[in-house]
Amino acid sequence: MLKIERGGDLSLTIPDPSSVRGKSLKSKLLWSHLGIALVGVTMLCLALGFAVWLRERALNLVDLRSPAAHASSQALSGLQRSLAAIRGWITVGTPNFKLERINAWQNEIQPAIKSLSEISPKWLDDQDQKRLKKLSELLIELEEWQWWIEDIAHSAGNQPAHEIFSRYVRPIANEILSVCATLINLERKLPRSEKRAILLERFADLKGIVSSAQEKLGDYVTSGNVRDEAELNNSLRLARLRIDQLSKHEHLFTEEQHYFFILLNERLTAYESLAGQIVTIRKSDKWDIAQFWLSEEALPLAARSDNFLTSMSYVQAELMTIDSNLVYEMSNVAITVSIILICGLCFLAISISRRSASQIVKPISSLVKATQYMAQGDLDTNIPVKSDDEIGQLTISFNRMRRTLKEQRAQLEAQKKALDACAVVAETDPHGHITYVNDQFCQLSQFTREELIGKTHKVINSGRHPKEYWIDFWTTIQSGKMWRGEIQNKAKDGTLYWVDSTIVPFLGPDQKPEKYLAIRLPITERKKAETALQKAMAELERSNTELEQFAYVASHDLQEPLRMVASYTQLLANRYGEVLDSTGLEYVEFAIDGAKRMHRLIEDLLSYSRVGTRGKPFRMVKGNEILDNALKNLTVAVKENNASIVRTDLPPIMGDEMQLIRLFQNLIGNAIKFHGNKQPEIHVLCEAQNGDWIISVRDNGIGINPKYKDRIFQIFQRLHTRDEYSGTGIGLAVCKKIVERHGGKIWVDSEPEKGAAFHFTISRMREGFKNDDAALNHHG
Amino acid sequence: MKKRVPETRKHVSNFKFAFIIVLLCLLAKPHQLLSLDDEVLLPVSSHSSTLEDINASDVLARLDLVRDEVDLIRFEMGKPASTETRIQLSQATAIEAYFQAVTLYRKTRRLAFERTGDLADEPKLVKTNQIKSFHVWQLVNQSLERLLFIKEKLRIEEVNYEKVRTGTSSSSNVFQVILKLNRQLDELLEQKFESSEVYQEVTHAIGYASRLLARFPDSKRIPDPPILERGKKPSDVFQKLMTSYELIQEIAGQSGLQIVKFEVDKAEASKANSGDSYNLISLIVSELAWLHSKLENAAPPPGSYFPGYRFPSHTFQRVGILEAQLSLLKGFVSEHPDWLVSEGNFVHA
Repeated sequence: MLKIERGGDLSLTIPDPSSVRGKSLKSKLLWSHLGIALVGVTMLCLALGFAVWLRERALNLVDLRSPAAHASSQALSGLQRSLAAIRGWITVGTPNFKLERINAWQNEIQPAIKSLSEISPKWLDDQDQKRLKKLSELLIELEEWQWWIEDIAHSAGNQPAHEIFSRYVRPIANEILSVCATLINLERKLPRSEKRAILLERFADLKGIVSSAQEKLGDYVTSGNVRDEAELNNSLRLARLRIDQLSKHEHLFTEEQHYFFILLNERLTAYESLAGQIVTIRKSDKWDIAQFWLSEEALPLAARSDNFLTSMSYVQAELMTIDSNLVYEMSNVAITVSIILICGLCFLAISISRRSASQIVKPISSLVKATQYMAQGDLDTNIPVKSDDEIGQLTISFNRMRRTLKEQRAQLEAQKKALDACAVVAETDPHGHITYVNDQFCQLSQFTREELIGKTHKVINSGRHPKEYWIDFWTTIQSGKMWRGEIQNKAKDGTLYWVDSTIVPFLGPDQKPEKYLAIRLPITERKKAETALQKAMAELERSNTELEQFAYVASHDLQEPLRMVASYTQLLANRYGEVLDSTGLEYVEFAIDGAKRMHRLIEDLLSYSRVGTRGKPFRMVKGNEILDNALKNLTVAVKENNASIVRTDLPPIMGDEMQLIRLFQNLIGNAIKFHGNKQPEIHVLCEAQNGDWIISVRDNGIGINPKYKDRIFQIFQRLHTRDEYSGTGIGLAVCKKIVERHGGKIWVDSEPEKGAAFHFTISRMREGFKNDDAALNHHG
Repeated sequence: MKKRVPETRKHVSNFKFAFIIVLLCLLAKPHQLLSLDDEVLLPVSSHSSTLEDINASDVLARLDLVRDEVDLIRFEMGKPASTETRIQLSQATAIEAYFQAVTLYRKTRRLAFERTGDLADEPKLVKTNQIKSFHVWQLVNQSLERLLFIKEKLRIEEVNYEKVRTGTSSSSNVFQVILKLNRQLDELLEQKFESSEVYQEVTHAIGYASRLLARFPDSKRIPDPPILERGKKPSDVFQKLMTSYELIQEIAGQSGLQIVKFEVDKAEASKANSGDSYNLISLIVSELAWLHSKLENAAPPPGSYFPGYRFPSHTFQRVGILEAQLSLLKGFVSEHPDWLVSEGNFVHA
């Protein structure tokens, strides 16, 4: 429970929210919001997970599939471009084709392979990576082969047949022709004959045939044409035929002709051999090495690479299509799911909010309605408690408040009724205009309510109070303080009446009086009684004074004749003792003793009366000093009886010092006197009680029968004979009178043989002292 | 033209004599027959009893015969003897000797064509990892056959006989002798081995180098050619080839292998002609072929082809490609010294 204190004197307790049983409103609100948030977060998580998955697929598409497909296509394109370039180079031999091939490799194939290599670690299928590795190897091989083809294509060694023709056949052919020319020249130098003419013709013919063969061979090397080959073979056959024909005329040759003819025959044999080699090479696949390498090495490699790339491109394109379709479909699903989630979230949020709001607001609405009823004065409607949260607590508190209000209202009505029954009640505005009066007011003032409402209290002003009286009145109540006093008013018929008025100002928010409530009690009768009482008291006081004066005078006046009786009786005994017999002497003794006792009685009576008549004005005296003085007076008795006095500090006391000394002296003296067989042990104690000091004198003496507890305080009352204990029986009566003069009372607690404790009260006089402790300290 | 009296019959009889000797030898050891372009020549140096056992001494004995025949032809042609070279060479194997013998054959083939018009076939190369001294001996024999053919056509009647060589010989000795013979043949050729032929062989070497680089798939197998520098001389090509050869030596060293130590005096290098470059590129090709043979399942190089006429500057440029390849290869091999024996391809980091 929390406790809020207002101004230190008003406390209000309110329930601690943590003490609410069941789910608190905070908890409900929290769970309500958390519920919505949880649903939202769950749906967002689902959407987020879906988005992440889509992102992965999209990234896969962007980072993996698309680049892979693009790179594969690029490599494929580069490959075809390089092959076209190498073909162009072989065919045309323009350097642009070399540049084109290099560009294809450097700008397309190699970047594409590099790109694929960078992507490949992300590929899930090992076969793809192996395929790429193999592809890389194939492409390196292919690039090298393209280099070789490019290098050889326009070199002399590219066509071995042509090389042989150029490097070897042509010199031999030239030598054959030269030898033929030599033989013809030699033949021409010889004498003419028919046979010689034939030889000359055959040599010339041979030269022509060789020349033709050379031409045909050259054509064949270039064209590889079968017709050229046939013509070549025909020429070679004719040449050999001519050689054979010439051999038949070898006997006609000169020695020199013979030498050259043998040389011719050898060179023609070599020529035939080389021509045969050329034909063989020209017919083989390797007649053009560049083409051979292109078809046998490069193209298969290119085809394999192409297959790999096509496969990869196809696979990647397929995968890309699958991923793309998947992403597209999933995107649609995501949109649909998102819409459903949004709708669901809205629906759930609205449902949960409505439910929570209804749960929270419904009891509040009931409370609002109940408050409205209450404002209209209906305090009977009880609001059912439907929850055990803060609203439930509030409802319970509200019901409790309603009941309290109802009770208080009933109580107020009862009090008002009672007040109206016994008091005169009126209300005024801040300016003193009467706004309300009760029946008592009307009855007492004899004015009707209508005559009073809107008027000031001047209508009942008696004019008996001075102006200063009213100034003090208005100053007090306008400062917001309550004013109380007795006012004499005048009724409508002019009769005067007294009222004990209490004016209560009701302060507004600005701490200024908004209205005044006047509650008055008619005290006319009391005032009359007081007047009568004062008269009686004055009469009584005068009577007492006269009585005391009488007692004093009587006592004082009795002293003189008594002293005369005693003196003359004593003188009689002294002077005429010898003449008096024993009886006479005994009578004189009796007379003297009686006079003495009479004297003591008169003294005591005088002192008793002096308590009332010769008392001194009260002043603050120190209790301890009073006790000390009392004990000093009792020094002999204390010593004789070996009395033990235990005392506490006594406070300062407002009173008559001498009488207070007499009080303590009498009480302690009695305690010593009535000690019995015991050594007297006396305790003087003091304690504060309510507004008084209670001072006690306790002894261990013979004690007093409780039935005499009042009698002992009566004058001249004795409980023992004079033989047992001396005294006049006036001591405690004096004590009682002293105590009563000081406004206190005295009593005794005692039982026979158990000691006695005399208590008396003295009013605690605070004026001049901050507190009792300070007073004690000051005293000490 | 100088008039010569043909002595065909005598030459034919000399030639037939040689064949008869060979035939007799074949009949004596029919199980030792080895095919050599439809001809069979047996060693006569008596160092080896079978063809499989033919060693460097046998080859040297046959080379001595070749040298004698070349001297006869040189004498007949009136050409000067070649100058001595200051080339230091060691640790050669049959492979290097074989490729040098190929060069020898090509030069005798060309000489035979120039002198007789007869053009023999290009040599059928043996797989590098199968090369033995016997195959060197075969090529030397083919070269000898060409020389004998020339002698016959030139009607040189003097007959040389193979002599038995004493002492041990090595492939380095064989290489050295073939190198010397090649230099001598350069003097005899009308159409010398010029920059074009060097260019052709450099291209051949590039083919081998690209196959070696294929071991490292990330590499660019045939780098872009350097800028063509005009006015290069054959000696510049030779010296650049020496740089390439040094790279090969380093590659072989990184791979835990030894190749021919080939040192040429600087003065000699500055005077080198295309023939020397051709001999050197032949050596380079042989070394690359040897390394290539170490790789299992390595594709063969595309082969060499005649490029047409090329200036030394073109050849120099092409050697630049080879040099770039070898530099790349050296870089890869330094990271993977076991590249010749490890399985699978290396992916360069």
